[in-house]
Amino acid sequence: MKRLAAWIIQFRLPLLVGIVLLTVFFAYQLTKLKIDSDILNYLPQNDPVVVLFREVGEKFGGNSLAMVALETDDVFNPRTLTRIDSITIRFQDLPEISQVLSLTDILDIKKIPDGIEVGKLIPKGHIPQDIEELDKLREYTLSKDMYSGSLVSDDGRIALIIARVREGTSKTEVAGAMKDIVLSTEGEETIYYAGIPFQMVFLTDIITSDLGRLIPLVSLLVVLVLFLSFHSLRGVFLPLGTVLISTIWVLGLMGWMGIDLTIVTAAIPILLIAIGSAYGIHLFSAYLENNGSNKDKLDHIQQSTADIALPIIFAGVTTLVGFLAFIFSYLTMMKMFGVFASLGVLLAMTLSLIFIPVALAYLPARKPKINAKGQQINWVTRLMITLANLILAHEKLIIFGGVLVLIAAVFTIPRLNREVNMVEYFKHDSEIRQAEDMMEKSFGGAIPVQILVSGDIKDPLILKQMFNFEKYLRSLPDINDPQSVADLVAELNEQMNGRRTIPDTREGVANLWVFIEGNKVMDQLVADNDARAMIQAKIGTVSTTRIIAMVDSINQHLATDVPRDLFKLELATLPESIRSEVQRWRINDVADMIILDAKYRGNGHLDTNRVLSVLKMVDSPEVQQLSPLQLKKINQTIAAYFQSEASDLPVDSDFIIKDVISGLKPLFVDSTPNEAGIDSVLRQRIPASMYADDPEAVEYAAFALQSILHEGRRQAIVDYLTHRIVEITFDMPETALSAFQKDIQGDIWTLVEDYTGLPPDKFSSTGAVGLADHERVELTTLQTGMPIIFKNLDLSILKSQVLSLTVAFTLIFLLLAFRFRSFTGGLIALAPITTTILCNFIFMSILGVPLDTVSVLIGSVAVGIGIDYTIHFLTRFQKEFQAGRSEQEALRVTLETTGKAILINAASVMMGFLVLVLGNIVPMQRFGYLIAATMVTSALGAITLLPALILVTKARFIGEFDRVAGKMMRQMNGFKTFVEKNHNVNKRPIVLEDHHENCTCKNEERD
Amino acid sequence: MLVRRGSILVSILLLAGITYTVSAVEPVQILQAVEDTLNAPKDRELTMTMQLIDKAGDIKTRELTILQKGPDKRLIRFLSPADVRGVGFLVLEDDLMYLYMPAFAKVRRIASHVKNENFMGTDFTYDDMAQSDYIENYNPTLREETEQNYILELVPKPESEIDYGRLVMWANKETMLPDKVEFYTRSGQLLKIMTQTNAKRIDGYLTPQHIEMENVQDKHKTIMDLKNVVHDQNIPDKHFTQRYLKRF
Repeated sequence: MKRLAAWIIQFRLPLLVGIVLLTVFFAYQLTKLKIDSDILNYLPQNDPVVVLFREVGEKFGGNSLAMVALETDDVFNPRTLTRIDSITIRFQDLPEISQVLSLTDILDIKKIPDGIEVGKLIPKGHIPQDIEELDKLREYTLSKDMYSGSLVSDDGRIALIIARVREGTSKTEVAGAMKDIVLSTEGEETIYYAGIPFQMVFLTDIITSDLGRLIPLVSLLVVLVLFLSFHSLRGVFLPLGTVLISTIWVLGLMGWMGIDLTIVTAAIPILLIAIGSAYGIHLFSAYLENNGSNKDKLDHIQQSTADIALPIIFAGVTTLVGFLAFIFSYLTMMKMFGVFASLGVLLAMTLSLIFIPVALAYLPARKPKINAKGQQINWVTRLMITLANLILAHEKLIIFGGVLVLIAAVFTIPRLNREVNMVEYFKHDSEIRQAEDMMEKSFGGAIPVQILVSGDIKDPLILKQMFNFEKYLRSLPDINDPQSVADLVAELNEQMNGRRTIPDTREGVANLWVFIEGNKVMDQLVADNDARAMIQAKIGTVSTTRIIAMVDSINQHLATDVPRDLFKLELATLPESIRSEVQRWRINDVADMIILDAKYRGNGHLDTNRVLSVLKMVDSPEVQQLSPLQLKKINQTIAAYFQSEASDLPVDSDFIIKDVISGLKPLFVDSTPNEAGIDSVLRQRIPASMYADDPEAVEYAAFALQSILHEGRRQAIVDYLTHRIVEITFDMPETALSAFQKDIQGDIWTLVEDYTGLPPDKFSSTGAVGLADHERVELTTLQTGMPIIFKNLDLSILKSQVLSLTVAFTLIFLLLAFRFRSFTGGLIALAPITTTILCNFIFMSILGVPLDTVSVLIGSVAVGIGIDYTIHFLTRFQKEFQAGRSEQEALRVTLETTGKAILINAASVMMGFLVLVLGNIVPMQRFGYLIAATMVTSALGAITLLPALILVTKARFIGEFDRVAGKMMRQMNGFKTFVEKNHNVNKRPIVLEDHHENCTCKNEERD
Repeated sequence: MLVRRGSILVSILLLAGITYTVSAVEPVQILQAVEDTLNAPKDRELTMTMQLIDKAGDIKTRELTILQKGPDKRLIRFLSPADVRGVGFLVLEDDLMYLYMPAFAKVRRIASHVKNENFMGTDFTYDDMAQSDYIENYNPTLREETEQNYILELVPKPESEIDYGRLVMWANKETMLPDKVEFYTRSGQLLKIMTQTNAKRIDGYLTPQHIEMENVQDKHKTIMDLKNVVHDQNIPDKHFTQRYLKRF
């Protein structure tokens, strides 16, 4: 150390110039430092879950929705609608935005008697002005699931504008431009901004403003502590300068390397300033203490530096180890924190040893000042004496207290909450939090759960699986509005064919698909040439625990209830025994769907057995034989066909139509006739003159009628069964009943379909496996999206916590064992800090502070900083004890000197961290007060539990407890120590203890 | 009648191009000539392959026939892929369209008030499909004249319901067909580029064999290659009915 100190003094000029130059260089690099608020970048980019999430994001544009909400008493008023319209139009003008949806720009598809009407909900440039029109618009919009709860809240108070940001563009820039647009429009509506792009903007803003506010504050605090300690300008500016320079270097280096600040690494400057000043304080006070001698100024600096270097390095290394433990973390942002925070500590430590001596060398020597703090310290001293007596009297009680902490920890730690949702990082009254709360309350949430389906998406069997899976999804408590292409197909099928279900043939699906192909919404639902599809739903909770439970139950359902293979069968071709088995399976399946629908629509208690008994009637003659009423309906359809323009064989005579119907009736009353049968009825009953000019007309008409009859019969049966199910459904809210009816009508259609898909187990159990020809359809499902990232994040936080603490404890144990040359010594020295960590978890559990990306850091940071107190204490205690004092005396001396210094040191670090409470990021606030608490507990632990343990265990590393010599020896040693003390005053590791010399002497005298 | 007037105009304009300076040619006349060339045949039956290419480069291929008679009668029918074979659209007047779905043996009326939506997965909007009425909807100005082209800038007339901000058209001096049209949004950004190449004279009418429409913002592309075209067959009106829509 001496050589190091000499070297520093010798090369003081180049060192000073080097420090200045590097500081200027890194200060310039600071300008390149950016804030990265994309939570996805915080994760390792090669993690399969992240890779999939990004891929899906690119293909389906999943994570790029930016939403603006306008709230007023009733959004259906001309001013608000006009404002929405102008924002929508201007959003569309932004090249980075690919699509905008809002009340004033959304396709509206209505069913009309013989087809559909496609228009805009509000036609362009025709915002309704009069009250009647507005009322009509409100009523219509709120009645449709597609708008209500999606584009406008159910109560009509909040309207949403949803913009999709193109991949590969800067989300924060676009969100900024969008905000400017919104602010440039006039209106009295309350505005909310939601979605990941806006969250990123807010997060960046909040980090920037927190840094701008907290860095000066914590610096000011350090100035205060320094001034109170040293009462001199250099005493303030040298230690402060050291930490500021090291902070500039670290952040400058990050800027230079292009490493962005994250929500976690943003804490580094505050952390460094709060803890890094200690090294400067140690050095400067060592310099002050030695100032009495009449040595040459440089010699004096060199001497002080040499004396204090080792304790400083030891304190620095333990802290550094605490931070370094995070490089083993799964999360990139925590790794970065580990690297740069420990680098910062290393720099602060090194610069204290270099910069302060070098600077002092260039400053004029000062006369030692008589310290005026005697009065102030006295009460602390008195406190320490009382404390020492207490410990001596109750050492077992103290250890019992430690054991109590251990027991409390066992009970409270498992109850620790975990939190990974970024939204939870913001205060409840913050803009972003309010927006998210609003989204959750009025629009069912903003974060989507996503399930990627791979396979031939146009295959009806796959679409049906998707459709049914959505029924499961929406029956879950925290999930809202599932959406997929299967929905669109079912919806379109309802509009075109009157049933909300997936058509059972590939042609049926493809025919409908033509109509939605190329629609912008399809970009979010299918990709890869229709080989992949996405099922999305909104999550109505921000609670990590609930989100993870949801992720797990979805994965469970995907694994057990969604088959990977399906065997396609045409029922008509099956032998009767197999057919009835297949039908039995279908009935069970449909019953499950009906129960799910009932659960979703508001009745969880529909009796499964009763449902089954209704469905089982489907093939019975009672149901297959149509009633007169059902026949009448089909007759009307036939008549309408002959009279329509689309008729292949127009017949304008009612008489002939009636005749044809009566000819057809026997054919379709209990089964569907074939085309040939219909053809011959037509030829018999319709005069040839009616199709003389178009001989093909009869064939086309027979084909059309066959389809009409087939569909009409099936519709009649389904309607009958639907009606019977509704009869046994009780307590269904009136408002939900018609939707429920539509749902189950779609479910029951499955029972009358010509084709079906069997999962492998049913395929073999029904005996269908023996059939010669069958088609196999494969599908795979995979959950992706933010929730599963949350789950991974949560797991990795847990892992990080365990790993970082293990690493920190192991390394520090090794350091301590080495330092005290004792295994037991290492273990005993760990006791106070272990208690501190346990206390921290107990506090977290009691205060409801969750384990999150920031609070996970507390343990290792506390170990790194808090262990210093133990080291200080033990070093002194050992020294006093080995100097021949009794353990009681040694304790008294140590407490009155080092103990006091420990409390002052802990108090100043605590103050530094408490500044974080003034910030705006909730986890940082919690980090601030929890670290402050660990400073209290680790300091207290070091001065109470530690001595108690030593007194009880009489650990040998401290010295020989069973010394034979007794009092004589003790007195002799005491004298020796006294002499040594006064000659080796410089060898003390503790430096804040300005008065310990006096204290020791006093005690000595008292003895 | 239309045919003759169109070709006369073309020749006059061609002469004019040789004899007079740019300013002497009225942009409206050029546009009229283009429109006349496009609308020259009485009726037309086309068979083509159509490729839809998305930003990932995935290609979907379709084969279809189009029957067209006058400005208000158009029938589009899919021939392949197999699962949409026979799906047909009958486009009559402005808002009236019928869709036939053979899988359900049903004709459905589609009353669409939205003209700026893409037509069935292509990059053409319903408006683009009925694009031959330039004169009615746009005010043209001549931006530039090159050796091969008149470059016209078309700005929608205030009363028209065109959703584009403007079009820039490269009208080929020789064929009087647009070689290229750029479509701009109302805020002035380039949205789509249409190019027509390889025009051949078939039945006396110049017909481009290859048409591409690229949406530069979505990076999506539609390519149409003409396989067969027959003009002036006197297609009867009854072929443009719901009844015939079902026959394929």
